[in-house]
Amino acid sequence: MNDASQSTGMRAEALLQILEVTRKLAAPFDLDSVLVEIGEAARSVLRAERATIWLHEPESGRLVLTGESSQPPVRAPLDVGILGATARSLAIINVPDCRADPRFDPAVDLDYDNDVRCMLSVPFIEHNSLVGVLQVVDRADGPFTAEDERVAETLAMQCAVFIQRERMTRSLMMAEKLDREIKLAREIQMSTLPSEMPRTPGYDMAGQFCPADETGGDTFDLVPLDPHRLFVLLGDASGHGIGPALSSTQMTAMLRVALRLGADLNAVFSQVNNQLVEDLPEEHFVTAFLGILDTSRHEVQYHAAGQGPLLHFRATDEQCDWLDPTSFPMGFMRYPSLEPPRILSLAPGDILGLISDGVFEAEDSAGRSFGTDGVSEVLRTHHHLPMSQLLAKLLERVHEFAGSVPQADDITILLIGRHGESTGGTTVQRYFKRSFASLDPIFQFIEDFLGAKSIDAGLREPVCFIVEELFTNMVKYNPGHERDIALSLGHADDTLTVRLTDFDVPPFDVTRTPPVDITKPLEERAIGGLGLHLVRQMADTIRYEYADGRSTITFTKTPG
Amino acid sequence: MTGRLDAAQCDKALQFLDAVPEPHVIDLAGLDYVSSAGLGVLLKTQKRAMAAGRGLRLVNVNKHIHDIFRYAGFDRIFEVVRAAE
Repeated sequence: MNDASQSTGMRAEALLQILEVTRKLAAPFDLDSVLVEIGEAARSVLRAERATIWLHEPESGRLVLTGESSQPPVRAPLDVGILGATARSLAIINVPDCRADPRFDPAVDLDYDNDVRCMLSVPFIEHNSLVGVLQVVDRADGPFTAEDERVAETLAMQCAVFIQRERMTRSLMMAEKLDREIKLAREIQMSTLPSEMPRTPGYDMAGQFCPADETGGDTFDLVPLDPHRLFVLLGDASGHGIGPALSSTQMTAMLRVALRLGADLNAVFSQVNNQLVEDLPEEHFVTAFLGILDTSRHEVQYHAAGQGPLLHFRATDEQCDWLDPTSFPMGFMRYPSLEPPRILSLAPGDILGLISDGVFEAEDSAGRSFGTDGVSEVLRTHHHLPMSQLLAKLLERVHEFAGSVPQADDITILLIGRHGESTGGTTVQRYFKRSFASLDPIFQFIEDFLGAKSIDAGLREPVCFIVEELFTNMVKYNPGHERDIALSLGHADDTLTVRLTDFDVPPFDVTRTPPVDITKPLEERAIGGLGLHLVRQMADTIRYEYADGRSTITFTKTPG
Repeated sequence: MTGRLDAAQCDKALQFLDAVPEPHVIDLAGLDYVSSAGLGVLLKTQKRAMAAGRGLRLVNVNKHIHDIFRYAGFDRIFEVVRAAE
């Protein structure tokens, strides 16, 4: 140790102190306490009255005074005082008598009491650039010596490295922290998205969420309430980034709790909305579809708060109905009064599509939007596919359409399809005028189909009988009507499925007409009423559905 | 009676049957198909026949039409004879 101190001309004691500071600096630290340590070490080692540290702030090009709690912090330019001279020259400046030095500036060089005598001004340098300046004033017994200069430089070299490293670490940590926060928010959000579709007999579902950036605001959820009812949610919080993601997550969590506690849809809807009104910041709101699918009644009752348009694909005529929202978005204000939920009936083969704005508003390079037309086209062509494949086709088409234009908004799609009557197998449909004159073409249609599918010829008469009965009923009871009647024939797994659809008519449930007592004697037998009775006897299964002015009768017949 | 006794044909069929003063045996060998409207025609005719003293006898009824007659309880009202297989 003595040799070393002698060769550098440093006091052993000074070396030890520097080493001590260095050791402390090596441990995890925060900048403010480090600077206090450095200042204290400098003052002590150099036996000075006071030590002040300024840090260089690259953004403003100024030096910022540390160790003071004033707000805003004191800043000094680089062209004033000994401070500035040191900063510009990147060299140590030893001033034996400050009054005599023209560069001295009492304001910047901090001579509040007008009694500063001598000063040692030392730059912190790292990779040839300024990190800060250390100024020590008023050595106990006389001006600062050459040795003091070397001690100060050594100390400054050590400190510069640490200060710079700390600043870099801090900015890295902040970036990391933000990054982690985003990742965490995303994880929370993704963990609340259903990872697989609940098994629902008679239904096929697919859902997918494609965020536009790190954290999208869309969310969807499927919560089985009991064996026949499934809660369905699609939510879309305004804007992008963490904020909306948390709004969506919060809403999902609240809804799940409320529903599990058995609340009904209207109560859940208004309570969650009121909560969001309180919790969400002013410019935030959530558009949402909240619905309950009843798989035994094949109905969805729902509220669509600012969420729309909703897709209802009708299998009978392969058309897409686009339904409007039922109320304004959630989190905006308390609902003044609440209508009962809307009800949508799903016929076999129908599809309910919950599709977020990102799909309709996807633009191509010419500024055209994909729109509901884009979706309708995909549905008409691919509706018979399993929902997961249909969803993939839809996404594919949107991406194809947008081309090089990047995705601007989150895309969330949820498709709920009711199984068609004949899954796998063919169905043909024709429309017939409402007249008895249609009977011959109808019989021909049936005969051709049975022949084409090589179906047991024994089915022909019973099927014709049933179809004639049902068709003539439709003609008889809505005679003034313009619209044609649809007849569809399907064949799968050896079973023939026949469907008749009458449009824009009042309901008439053919499965519920009174049975006929066939044991009555002739005199008591009525002429009418026999037909539907026989139809019910002869069909293997028969079902009546009515929705949106449309009567649908579906029956099946299997040979043997 | 031959062909198909469907709704479109019923009026004609009824006219024809009404013209027979005492219907007795109706040969349904050529009848491929009967609809509920057709059943109505037969029932009406049967009521008239019974009122006149003697019910109808429906012969050479094929399997399909025989099934319908059974579902409709016509086998209790008419004398129905199946066609020879």
